[in-house]
Amino acid sequence: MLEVTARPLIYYMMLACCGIPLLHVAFIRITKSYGESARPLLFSCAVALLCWAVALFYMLAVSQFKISPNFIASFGTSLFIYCGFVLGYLEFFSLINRGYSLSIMMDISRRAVAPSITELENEYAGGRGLMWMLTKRVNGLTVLKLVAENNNQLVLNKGWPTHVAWILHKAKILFSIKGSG
Amino acid sequence: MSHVFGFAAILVYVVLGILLLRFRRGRSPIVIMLIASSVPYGLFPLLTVRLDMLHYTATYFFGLMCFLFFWGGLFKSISVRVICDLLEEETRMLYVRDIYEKYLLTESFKGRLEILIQSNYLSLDDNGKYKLTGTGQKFVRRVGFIQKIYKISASG
Repeated sequence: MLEVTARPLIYYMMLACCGIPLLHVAFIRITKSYGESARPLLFSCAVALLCWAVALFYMLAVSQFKISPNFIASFGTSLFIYCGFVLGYLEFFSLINRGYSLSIMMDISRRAVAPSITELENEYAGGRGLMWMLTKRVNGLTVLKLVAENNNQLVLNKGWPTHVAWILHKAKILFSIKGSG
Repeated sequence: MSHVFGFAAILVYVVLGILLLRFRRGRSPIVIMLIASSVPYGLFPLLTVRLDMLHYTATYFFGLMCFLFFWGGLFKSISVRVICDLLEEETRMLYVRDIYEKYLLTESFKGRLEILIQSNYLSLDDNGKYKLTGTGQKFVRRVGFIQKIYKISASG
């Protein structure tokens, strides 16, 4: 029985992670969808993981191996790299896609004449307005069942949503975050 | 063992971050958290010689990303702000119009414009009009190029 050299497992994962942005762009172009859609992003992350799993299976199938502590450690490291990269990429993409300050700057750059604060408010996100942004966030919270909306009143749901809010509130105190947003 | 050290380094980082944020005295929290991340990462390899740097780095990288994802949400997310504001209300209820006017428009929107001016991305002229500075234009061009690659029509 041979022990599989575990390092390539990690290198394959690094390679798969590098492929995620490329796959993402390719899926957007092939499916003719827009970057705002989450599907191409999720799909590219899944395909990258699948490619790595195929490489792992190939390694295991071709080589006579024993599962050593070294192999398990490399397996864990590969998953840490994947999860870390996906989180970082999600953060980057969310900034490009949903960035608040960025959107303000893009709106100013699109205009021929410099805007006032009222014009910026009304024409936020390519003319959708600042209220649209709040509605989008509120809809997201409603879909997650954290809040309920009745007659333009927003109510924090009882039970686990209140516990989530309490944890977030305490975390903000712990990290000395005043206000935020 | 290297994974354990990686997680221990993250724990040290979180504690260090909490302490530094308490005594930041007006310095940017993001800069503080990014600089603080290098200290625990460099500390543990000095304490032990039996450390596989690849396993250690991957574990630290994963923990760091998880923490920054959570902390970034707490720090900048509008949704988190809305939830926390609702919790602080006795009735757990707020009017959408009040959230818009009191928080989003007055505090958040104007606050972001102020930060963009301080960061030298925007300038405000005497007529109350906002213009992109040279740095701002360069930044917008770069981001616009990335948005074009991803076919993002309008962010926000």
